[in-house]
Amino acid sequence: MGGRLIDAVQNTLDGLMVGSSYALLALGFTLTFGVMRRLNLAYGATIMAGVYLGTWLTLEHDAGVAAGGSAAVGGAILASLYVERLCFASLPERAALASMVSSFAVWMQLEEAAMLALPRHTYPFPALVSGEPLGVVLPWGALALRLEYLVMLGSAMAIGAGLYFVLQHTRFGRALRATTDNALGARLLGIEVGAMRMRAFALAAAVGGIAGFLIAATDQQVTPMLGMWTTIKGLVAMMLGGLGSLRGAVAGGLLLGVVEAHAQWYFGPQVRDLVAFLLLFACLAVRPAGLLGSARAGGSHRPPGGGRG
Amino acid sequence: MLRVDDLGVHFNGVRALDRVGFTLAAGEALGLIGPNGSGKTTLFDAICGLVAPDSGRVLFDGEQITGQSAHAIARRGIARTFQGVRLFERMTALENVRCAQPGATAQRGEAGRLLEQVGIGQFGGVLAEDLPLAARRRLELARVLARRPRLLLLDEPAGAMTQAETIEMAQLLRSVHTGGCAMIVVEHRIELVAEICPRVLALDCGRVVADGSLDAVLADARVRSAYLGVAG
Amino acid sequence: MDEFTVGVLSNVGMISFLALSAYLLLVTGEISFGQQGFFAIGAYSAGIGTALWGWPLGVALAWGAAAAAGAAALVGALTLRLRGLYFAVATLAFAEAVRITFELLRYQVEIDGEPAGPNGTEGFRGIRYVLEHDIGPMQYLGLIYGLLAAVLALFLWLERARIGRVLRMIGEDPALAAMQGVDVARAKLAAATAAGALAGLGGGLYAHLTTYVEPRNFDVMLGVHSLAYGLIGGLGTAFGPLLGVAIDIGLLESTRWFSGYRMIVFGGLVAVLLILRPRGLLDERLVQRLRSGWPFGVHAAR
Repeated sequence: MGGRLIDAVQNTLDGLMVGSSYALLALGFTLTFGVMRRLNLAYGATIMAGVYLGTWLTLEHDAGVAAGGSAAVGGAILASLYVERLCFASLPERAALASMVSSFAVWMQLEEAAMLALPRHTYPFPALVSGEPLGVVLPWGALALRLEYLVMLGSAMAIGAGLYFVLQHTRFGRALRATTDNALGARLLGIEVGAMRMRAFALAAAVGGIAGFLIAATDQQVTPMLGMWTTIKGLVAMMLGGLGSLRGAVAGGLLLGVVEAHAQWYFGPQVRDLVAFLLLFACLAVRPAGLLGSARAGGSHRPPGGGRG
Repeated sequence: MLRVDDLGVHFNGVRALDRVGFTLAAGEALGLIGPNGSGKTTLFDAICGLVAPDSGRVLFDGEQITGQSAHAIARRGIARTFQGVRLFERMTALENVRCAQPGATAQRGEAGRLLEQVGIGQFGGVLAEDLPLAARRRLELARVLARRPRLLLLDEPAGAMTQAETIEMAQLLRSVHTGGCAMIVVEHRIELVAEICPRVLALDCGRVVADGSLDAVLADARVRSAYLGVAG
Repeated sequence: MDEFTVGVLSNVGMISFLALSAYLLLVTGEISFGQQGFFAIGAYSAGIGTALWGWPLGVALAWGAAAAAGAAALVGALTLRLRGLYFAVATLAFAEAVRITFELLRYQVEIDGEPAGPNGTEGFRGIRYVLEHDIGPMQYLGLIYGLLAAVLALFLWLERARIGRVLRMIGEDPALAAMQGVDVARAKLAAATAAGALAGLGGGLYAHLTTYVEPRNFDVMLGVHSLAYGLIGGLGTAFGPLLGVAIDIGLLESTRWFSGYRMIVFGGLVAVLLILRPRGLLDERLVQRLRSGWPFGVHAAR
């Protein structure tokens, strides 16, 4: 019995750790959605572009993990600005559907570009602590924790809190929220809506870049699946927690991680993914607003490409 | 024909309608006036089934329609227009009218005649989103007429129209009314209300404050204070 | 026709079913990321029908479409009140759950001394009905396009009938549609079911053409592509999604002009196209203009 209990606790801990990477992804996702009210499907691809830039730099120029990380964040920001200009700023606000499909098209572009630059299936990425090929494992009684995941959890909490502070208590945050609530009204108040959105996009990409970097440094490898993986995990975590809510993004990410860890332990990796999707489907069918979203959000989303109505 | 009993609606703790009650006889035209936010549009929403009331009920032909779905209420012969004009924007004017025609045997010819009747026959093949505002209001009227309604709820049919357009709209509505259709008209332009509606209901803060002839209602102290401010 | 051309045309035809399926929902205003799930259900069900149960192809295809329609009706009923992004993500979750279920599904029957049937991630081999019955590639191409033509004719008829108008009304403004006496929930459920059946039919055809399907054929990429086809080709007519498929598969993939860069070209093309025409090439405005120019168009009738 004791062994089982320890397994369950260890699984929960592992889940929280992995879930913190989902939380980071969901934070960036929800920030873009919150400002744009449109889904950016290229979000994962911009992260991948950044991480691939970092990988290329460490491989070709023997740069260290710090340089790789900076390049990942910088690359993600650059790629996201391309996405913002092409798929969002250039399309009318009511064409939400067109923006989504356009961002999907750019996802394809970024992914192919990344694979042209680094065509092999996997590439090594430097570890967070050099010379530790298996990562740093910290024993804690009968349990074990990985340093990399602790860093990830700490980053998720810090970034979540930081974003909350920025949105609630800074001039930039207030302007951003005004833009979200009422773009026309914000314009009348003299807020440059276009510039605000670009900054929000860059901020979200920076969060995503940090997430991508930490994930790559933990796995110590990158694959072309990164774009798809980050998109799906971030999207699921965001929807579980509730659209547009920072706390919801963190809660959704951690919940997804814990559920996945238990499902994997008891049923294997395929059932783990199955359980995650069934959980998402059930949540949407029963409580579309998510765990922490406002009840109003469910079902009241504007019709795609909707008219003046 | 229409009886509203004790109707109450509130949103997030704000009372939009508070024990509203009145009756409407078949073929009667009723003006509905009141300042912005007094609950006129919410009353329409509640009658049409777009908003679920917290209390009270609406009877149409003696049958309770509160709680029924919007399409079931529409099929009973209640049609409405919207303050902001709601059309199927990516359809032509003619298609918009045909959308409203009940039954599968809808006639294209009749839809065309309705467009002629409201004076926009030349716009049949134009997409709704390309029409000028006055034509959009006329198209919305043609669309509700195509439902062959017995009760018409009109939300500011002359909103943002010029004086000349308003007069034309008033004549149109009068002819519809003489055709036997009952109507409730929300309108800020008293001259339009005076033209069509012998009886007027005044709302303020979700309550009925006056019900009677236009002159009597306009003379009512509570109506004057609602329109002119607390001091009035 | 050479083998390559027949192969490309077959692909265009089959993916057209999926694109039309996504388009049907787009018309009612819903974005589905999950039509590939019904495509997969159709492929597996029809494949099981011929390969394991020895059914004739026609019956198996109908069964595949029916199974997909049943699943779509169930999903539709559960997601009826969801709109926009919520609906899109719910359908995505469903389709991924379907894909993983097929990764777990093992249903093997011994046929002629060989195990046959779905075998988890290994896939489902030996859907050999077409080979065994000496149906040539051209004949099968004829079957695909015969069915596609029938479906297209149905779409074009629907677009002119009351029911087509009802779907477009819901796509533009569900509340306003309800006030025209439309039972929105029922119409949406019917559209979702029909879209599922279409995807399932395409899936059945796909399984019998390739003789082999595996779960990862049916990933999100397939679904999002089929969604994009309607938006590229245009939402004004059922020819729109077909045009989208033809541009992507017929032109970009098969000509190999851009091999290695195809996605960069396709992605850029779509992004720029959507800036110029947010509702695709054959959008409602263009279709209206074309129709009114026709001898039986709106103007001529008056």
